[in-house]
Amino acid sequence: MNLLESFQSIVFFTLWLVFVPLFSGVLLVSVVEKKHKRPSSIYLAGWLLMISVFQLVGTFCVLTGMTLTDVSDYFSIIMFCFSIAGFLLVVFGMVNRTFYENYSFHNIKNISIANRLTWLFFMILLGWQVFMAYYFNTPNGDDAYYLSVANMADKLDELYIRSPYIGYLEGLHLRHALSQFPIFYAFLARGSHQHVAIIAHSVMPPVLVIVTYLIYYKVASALFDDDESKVPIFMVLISGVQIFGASSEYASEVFFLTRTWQGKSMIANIAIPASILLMLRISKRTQRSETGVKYYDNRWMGYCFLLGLCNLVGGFASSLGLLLLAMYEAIVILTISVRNKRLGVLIGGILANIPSAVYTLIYLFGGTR
Amino acid sequence: MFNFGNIIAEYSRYTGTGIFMVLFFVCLVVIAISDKNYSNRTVLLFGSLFTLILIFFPGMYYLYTRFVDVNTYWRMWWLVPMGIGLAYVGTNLIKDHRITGFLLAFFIFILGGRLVYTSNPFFGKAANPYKIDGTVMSLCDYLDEVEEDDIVVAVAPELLTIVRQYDPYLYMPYGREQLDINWGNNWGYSNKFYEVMCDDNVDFSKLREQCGAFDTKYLIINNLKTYINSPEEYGFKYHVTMGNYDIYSYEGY
Repeated sequence: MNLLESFQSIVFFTLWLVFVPLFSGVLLVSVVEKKHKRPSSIYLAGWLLMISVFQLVGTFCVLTGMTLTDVSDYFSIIMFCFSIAGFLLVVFGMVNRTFYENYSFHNIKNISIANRLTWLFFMILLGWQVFMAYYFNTPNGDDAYYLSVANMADKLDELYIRSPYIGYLEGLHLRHALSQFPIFYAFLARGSHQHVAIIAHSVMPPVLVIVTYLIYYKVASALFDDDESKVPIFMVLISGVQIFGASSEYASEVFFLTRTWQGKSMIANIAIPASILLMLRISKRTQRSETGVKYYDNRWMGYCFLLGLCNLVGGFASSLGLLLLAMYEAIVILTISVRNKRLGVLIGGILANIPSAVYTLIYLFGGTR
Repeated sequence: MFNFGNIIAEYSRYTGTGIFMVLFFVCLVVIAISDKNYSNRTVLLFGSLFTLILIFFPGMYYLYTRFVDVNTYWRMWWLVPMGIGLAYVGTNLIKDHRITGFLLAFFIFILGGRLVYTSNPFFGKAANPYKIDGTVMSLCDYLDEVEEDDIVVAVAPELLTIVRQYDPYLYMPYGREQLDINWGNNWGYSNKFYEVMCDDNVDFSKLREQCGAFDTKYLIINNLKTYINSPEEYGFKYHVTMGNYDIYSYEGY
């Protein structure tokens, strides 16, 4: 690969892994927050939106016998529309001088020495994990399936119509064909002119490690909304759990740092923590005081919408992700609804799982085609 | 159907040798006793308790193993927010004594946990950005150069999971599903060609038979094995050696 191709790859990754989530997230976060939107929230929301859109577009194309070229075209058009709209919103804010009212940035000058050092400690741990994700190899046999599917999508422009193990044509197996993350890797590979193995093994692991810790950062911010100084302590401790959590080969921590690029890891370390984050926000926004007066306004419904996108992210990772998320959300949303005495939360949770229900029906009645 | 022992076995399988899950149960008690944050209790305490009840419920185990997958019930444990719970309680405990707290946490991690990278026996420095064995890449590239038509190649068993990660243009008479059979999962059939390729002794008379049966032209053989007869005698042509692997093509069609 020459210098120009390397530059093209970097531009492509920067566009799709940084700017598209960032600007498309601006629109989405406006659903739940009118003012003081944090860049971290915007970026994460953008990832939820981007992955959800890819899951829907990819599923449609797989079920209708289309190709990766079709997926790339539809997905790019939709995401560029969202991104341009988000970009124009930001520009509009700058022109109207409402930018600093609409968006909130961390004021690092007000952070204590202890917190700065704790944040530095966390950044060292994060940097080490990102380095390990890129520099070292932790091979896994499941890549024989996922990377082969991604490879066939990229090189042969075929979606799930061949056996990944031997290459011959076979029927569509919906258990795997409904999750689009291998196709997403193929999309990135084609656009960046890199091999899918490089995308899966070298590009995505560092990115996914950072996205995961961004989710944990938001979880910490939700848990400690009364005392931000605790957030860096939480981040250091959860890093320690992730690094030393290999109690067995089945632990989610093992999947996070040694199988980062696989769908199973995305369920355990991105979709489920994101679901916890959103349900924490829903709970806090519908919590009642001792006098029975509700604290917040109806923007918790926006978090229910984000929860629906989170469920699509679970489906993107694996068809099992939909089931696990549905079970977990049923428990927690019902608990929130009862404790906060808000029937609407239960209805919101049910609506958020409509995508899961639709995918389950496709899986149950779609059979092998 | 209501075999509680299987559920405990899955718990033991998931938690392994570490103490983090036990610490998480302790954290739930701490949250129940001392945490006053209403929403945090709702999600972390009550949400986790009801999730644990669901996981240990025999009916749930039956439904999952009957309708979803018989071997992956341990994935239900991913629903338990162990890391978040540990970090949450830990933060509240050490917030005023960070240095001591971090040191204590470090010792708990070292003594009660295990470094994740050691869980993979093949962990090592990546040889290239693909993180695929360079020899395998060279073997695939060679076949793509010498053959214009569809390439059907039978590969050494240890290469089964790797070849098609790199090259989707290679067809194979058997694939990774053969390894699953050896692991005890029943995918329905065992491939005779694979069995012949697994033999420590390379018998080209048997390989000729299998190449004809599976319409296979190329073989990638581990040359550390013992060749008990001459490949040329049975219609095979030697191409190249890369690393520990020889490529042969069957010319007897």
